[in-house]
Amino acid sequence: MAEELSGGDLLIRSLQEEGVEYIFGYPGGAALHIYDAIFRQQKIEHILVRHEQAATHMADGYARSTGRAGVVLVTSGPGATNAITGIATAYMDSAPMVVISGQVPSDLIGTDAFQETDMVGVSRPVVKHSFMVKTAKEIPSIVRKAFHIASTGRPGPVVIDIPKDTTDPNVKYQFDFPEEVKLRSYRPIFEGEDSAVDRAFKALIRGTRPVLYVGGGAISSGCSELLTEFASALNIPVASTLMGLGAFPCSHRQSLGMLGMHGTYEANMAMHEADLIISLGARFDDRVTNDPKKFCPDATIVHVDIDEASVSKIIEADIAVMADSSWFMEKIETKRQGYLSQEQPGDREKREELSELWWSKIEAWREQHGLNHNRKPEIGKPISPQLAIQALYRATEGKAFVTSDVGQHQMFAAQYYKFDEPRQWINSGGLGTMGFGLPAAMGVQMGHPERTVVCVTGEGSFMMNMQELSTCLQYGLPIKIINLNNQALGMVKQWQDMQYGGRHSQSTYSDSLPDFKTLVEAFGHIGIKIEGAENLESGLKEAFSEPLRNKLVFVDIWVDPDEHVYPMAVKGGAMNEMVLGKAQGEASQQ
Amino acid sequence: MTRQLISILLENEPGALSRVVGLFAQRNYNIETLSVAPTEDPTLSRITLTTVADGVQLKQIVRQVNKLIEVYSVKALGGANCLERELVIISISDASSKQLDSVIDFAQSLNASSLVKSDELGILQFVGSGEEVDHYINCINAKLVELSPDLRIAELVRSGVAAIELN
Ligand SMILES: Cc1ncc(C[n+]2csc(CCOP(=O)(O)OP(=O)(O)O)c2C)c(N)n1
Ligand SMILES: [Mg+2]
Repeated sequence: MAEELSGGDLLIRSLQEEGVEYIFGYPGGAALHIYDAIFRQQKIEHILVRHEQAATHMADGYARSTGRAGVVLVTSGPGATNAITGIATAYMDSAPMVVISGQVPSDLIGTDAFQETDMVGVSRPVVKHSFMVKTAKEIPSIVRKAFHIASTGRPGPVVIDIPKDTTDPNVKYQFDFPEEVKLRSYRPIFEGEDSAVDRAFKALIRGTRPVLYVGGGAISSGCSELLTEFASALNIPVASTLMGLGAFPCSHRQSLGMLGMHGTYEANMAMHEADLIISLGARFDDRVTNDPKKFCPDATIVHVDIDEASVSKIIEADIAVMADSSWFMEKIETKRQGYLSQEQPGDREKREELSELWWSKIEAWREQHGLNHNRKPEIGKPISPQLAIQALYRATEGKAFVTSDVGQHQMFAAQYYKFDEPRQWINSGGLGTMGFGLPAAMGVQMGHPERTVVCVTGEGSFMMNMQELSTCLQYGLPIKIINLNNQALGMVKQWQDMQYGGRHSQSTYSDSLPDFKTLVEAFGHIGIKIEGAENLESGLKEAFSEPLRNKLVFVDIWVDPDEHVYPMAVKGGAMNEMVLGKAQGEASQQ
Repeated sequence: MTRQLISILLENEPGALSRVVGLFAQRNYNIETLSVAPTEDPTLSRITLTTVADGVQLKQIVRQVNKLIEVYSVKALGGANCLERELVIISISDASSKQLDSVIDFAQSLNASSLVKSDELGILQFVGSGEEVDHYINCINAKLVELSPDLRIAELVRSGVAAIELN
């Protein structure tokens, strides 16, 4: 006979059955029965954060780096509402997460009881789904369903709201973990239509200027290897969204890097001039397309996405493939192999000639404005943030997991760190949540104890969740924090420079910044301050040196406060309309 | 932009309806009419709603609704492929008995039925397609004005559309 357990124990046992390693959480009244159940077991480690928002970002970082759902536990009321930003962040970037919130006892729901919030209602617009537990008996099946929903199809966060009475230690039920999930109304698609793949491949063979446009969906589907093989065999250029970086190796000759608002010149030009675009797990976000009416005028658009509501949402697809990207890649790669093995030598020559023609155009764009132009350290000048990222790339041999916050530093990291592996680059692309970087890095480090984990941040973003330095000490997380300190909300200031006549309304605070070195030392960590271009390499070398391997190191790099991120899309323009440098940016201002 | 009719089968569970309605608000779609009740299978409910959208928007709405975990199926209905019915109840007060008789006679000639008739109050019921209901209301208004410029419909309650597929 199965043993009898209380609701709290049923919950924890169910999480164990799901293979959960960590719960990121923070206790409070409505969750205390659950916390007591955590105390009674050893299998799952609970990570005590300092703010519930950080718990959600940690779970998110854990999830994005491992591919497994992250788990959060918070109490009712303020605990639950503090978690909302992180839930919304995960939702926008399709990260699998299960958030368990304590709730006031069932008989108090609706009475404006102490610490009561309608969590199911408040979170509804930013979750994939949510559950409200009615009796302890249903906890195992709800947990099973929640993990299934969070991690299949287009992944996303799922909330389980648990009224306190349903975890009462004195009310026990048999533990019965369901093997199968029964959800007749949830049928995520995986396979698409073969005929659509046929048409996509034919369009590709007919086309002369193809581009693969790769988004975060390609990473979560795990199709990187197939994608790389396919693109290499046909010599197709690959452009990535901010979320897709790493799906195709950025250091590969065929990688055009990031596209969109701060994308590379060659990526945006190639998109605009392409005659065929194959979009894999990308959603034609406004930061990519700019004005959708001017988007890629000559291109036949193949749109592969697991979320049918994403297909043709912004740009009407010529060939719509509602399917998982890995399914599509497998099918089209098989077609590719069949086609090449039967290709006549004459046809091959012709195809390769056309491809060379396309590449010669792309190479010309690369020449015109590659990201690496004219960047040399100048002694006595402030450090260029771009060079700082390149130095970081060298110091970590390109192998670190890199998380980021939001702002200029995020764009510089995306542009200059060449991510060769999927899941290596983790940032808040959809919601753009400042404060994401540090806790996300902590989650990544939990999932990958042996790896180097770097958080590239800005002093503004860092201060939104810096209380987690304390958590880092408690759990010995040796994260390396690279603070591109421009003494300002740099990205806001850049927009003000470019669009508001240089009026820096509420975007500077240089007189009141803390001394970060002392600050992190107060938290028990190592601080290194780097000023002056000549000290960049040596400072980073120290940060990543063997003696500091097991330490959290905060590297405060004082960078040029006047630097802007370029290229930058022209507001309301087409993808080929970009401001490439400061002179042009200020001229267009007039 | 045209009126669109959408029929949704969803799990008959607490909260399921609010997800559908919430989605419309969140995605900036409007709901013109809505009706909901359990179906022949009591574990499933049917929402029938009308909205105003063009073809592209309609496709988007249907796909977004379909993504909701508790939605079993969703279909855009319309034109010849379905039969739709809506109920309207109208009350008329402050009319003389003679005026009431006259309105009721008129309404019955339009296939409405009279539910209540007292000295002060008349209540009429009419069932038809959305268009027919609109037309009926216009006719009743015209009739009231014809009887006396001061007469008005006191209260009007429409049910929202119920629709069934033909095939
Ligand atoms: C929570 C939150 N609030 C506001 C913003 C708007 N915002 C975007 S970038 C930015 C400035 C970020 O400053 P910092 O972290 O120092 O990065 P920098 O741009 O200077 O590199 C702001 C305020 C945001 N993205 N997130
Ligand atoms: Mg800054």
